[in-house]
Amino acid sequence: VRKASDLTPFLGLAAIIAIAIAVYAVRLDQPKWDGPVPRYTYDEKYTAFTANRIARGDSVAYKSAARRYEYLRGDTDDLSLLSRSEWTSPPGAPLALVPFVAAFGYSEVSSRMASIIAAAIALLATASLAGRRSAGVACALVAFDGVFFVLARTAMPYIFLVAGVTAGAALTVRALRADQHKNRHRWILLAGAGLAFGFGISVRLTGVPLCLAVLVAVAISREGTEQRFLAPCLFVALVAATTYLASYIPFLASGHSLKDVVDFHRSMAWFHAHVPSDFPQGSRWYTWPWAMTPVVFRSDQVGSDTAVVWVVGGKLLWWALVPALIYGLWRGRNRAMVYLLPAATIAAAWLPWAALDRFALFYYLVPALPFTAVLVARALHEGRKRLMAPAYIGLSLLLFVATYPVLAAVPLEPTTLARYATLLGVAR
Amino acid sequence: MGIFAYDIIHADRKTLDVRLEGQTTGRLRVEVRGEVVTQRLEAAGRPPFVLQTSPDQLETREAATARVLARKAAGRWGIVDAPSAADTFTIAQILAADVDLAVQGASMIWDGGQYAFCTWECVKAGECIRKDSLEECAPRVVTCAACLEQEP
Repeated sequence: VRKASDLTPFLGLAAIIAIAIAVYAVRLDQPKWDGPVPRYTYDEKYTAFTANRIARGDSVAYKSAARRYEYLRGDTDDLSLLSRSEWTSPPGAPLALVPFVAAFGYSEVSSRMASIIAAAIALLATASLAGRRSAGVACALVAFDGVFFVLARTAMPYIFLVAGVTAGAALTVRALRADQHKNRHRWILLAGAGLAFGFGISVRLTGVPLCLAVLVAVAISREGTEQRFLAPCLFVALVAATTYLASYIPFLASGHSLKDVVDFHRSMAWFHAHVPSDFPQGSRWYTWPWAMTPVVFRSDQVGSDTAVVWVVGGKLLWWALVPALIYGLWRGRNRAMVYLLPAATIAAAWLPWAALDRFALFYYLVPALPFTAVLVARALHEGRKRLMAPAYIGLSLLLFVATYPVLAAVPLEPTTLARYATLLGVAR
Repeated sequence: MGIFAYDIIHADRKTLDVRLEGQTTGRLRVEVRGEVVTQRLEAAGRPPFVLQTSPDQLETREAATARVLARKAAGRWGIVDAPSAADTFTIAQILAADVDLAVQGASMIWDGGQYAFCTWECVKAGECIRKDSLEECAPRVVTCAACLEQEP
């Protein structure tokens, strides 16, 4: 029989996740899409729009660089001047939205529901990776980070990549720690990890280095080598690759051939090889952990007020990324998995961007956040100052509350908005 | 501009052959070669009108007369030979068709030289040509025309 004190961390964790989900869900319909033509929030014009076209069975959803007249066949109430199919990335993100759009109709709320569920999965996985003593702190740091918050309530891809990679990592670690005598349980966890990784890669191909980093870190860790975990890691990779390919089943079912799948990849590769290096709001990879200027997702006039969605990072967690990476590498020098895995994943989420001479936004680093939070929570737990963790979380929450109006499209008077703009360096 | 329907006779990545139906009845043939886009409008009762665009030049051809209307030099567009009202009207007709013939949403143009919001640019180019000078509209007109080519 468990003592009540044993359950306290779980109840605390459940409370953090429940509060986070409730906060994400409040005013989920804001910003609205209403208008003579839909007004999407940033890349919802690709992801949510494509989900709706897939749900409708429109083959243009999978067509690269289709011309406008091809979109005008049938109902056009979802079509804006900027929207188009998500033909520059694999189909995982729109596919994740399809069940919600099909079940509840095409709206802001139905499309954004999937993102909240993905955020909840990412938080649970973060808690699992952090371990019982650090779970609450790690979870709270991620849950109330500004970037995570905005992506958790917007119908866009990155929260699905975060969920896939973090869940895959958590399940791989669970499998490693599973009772070796319960072989079936272990293989089920490994299959789950493969599914999660495969889903993450089907959202963004930048998930590949992240998944590889997790698997290599686990395989070469002390625990991994003791248990000869290379074969299970290869199994996870195999399931992930199969899951990725399976994400093209709806593509094939809509009348395309395997050659079309290959051509789709060729087209994606061409696009990403030719993306310009300069584009509005883009920034260089090495500035991301310290990025002060938010990415503007949306700005609406509401009477005399203005409602905005600015992607503002929770500075304390983002600034901790590089120190956390160094701490993880240092503590993981004897191949302890609890340090090696998060450090390797942070590096894999960030450093490959150094090799790409293309436009990128600072929030592309968001898959590193759960792993940063795990290392920060662990460092706070291991630190001697007992008040450090509550103080760190308190400050993070304070920053979240202070920036909430510009994260969640709360209408602001011109003078208040001007203060935020000055403080955060947004050109207006 | 009075175009109600299109009959797509042929369309591939670099060429289009379209019958325009409505007040403007005619045929629009589009051909992309490198960064040069040639649009030939054949409408009843007048000689074929050709609009040829590249990243730094906008020219027309009608009845064997070629005219460079605008050119970009040192990063700025300037008028070389101002278009007549009739030319402007015909260019506007072509742009009205281009809105629906160009790649929807956003695409890479000029072999990856620029990322363009194609539909938006075509709509704005059409609005611009009807009320502003070609000097101001030329960047949007050439961008819209480049959006007629589909990415590989």
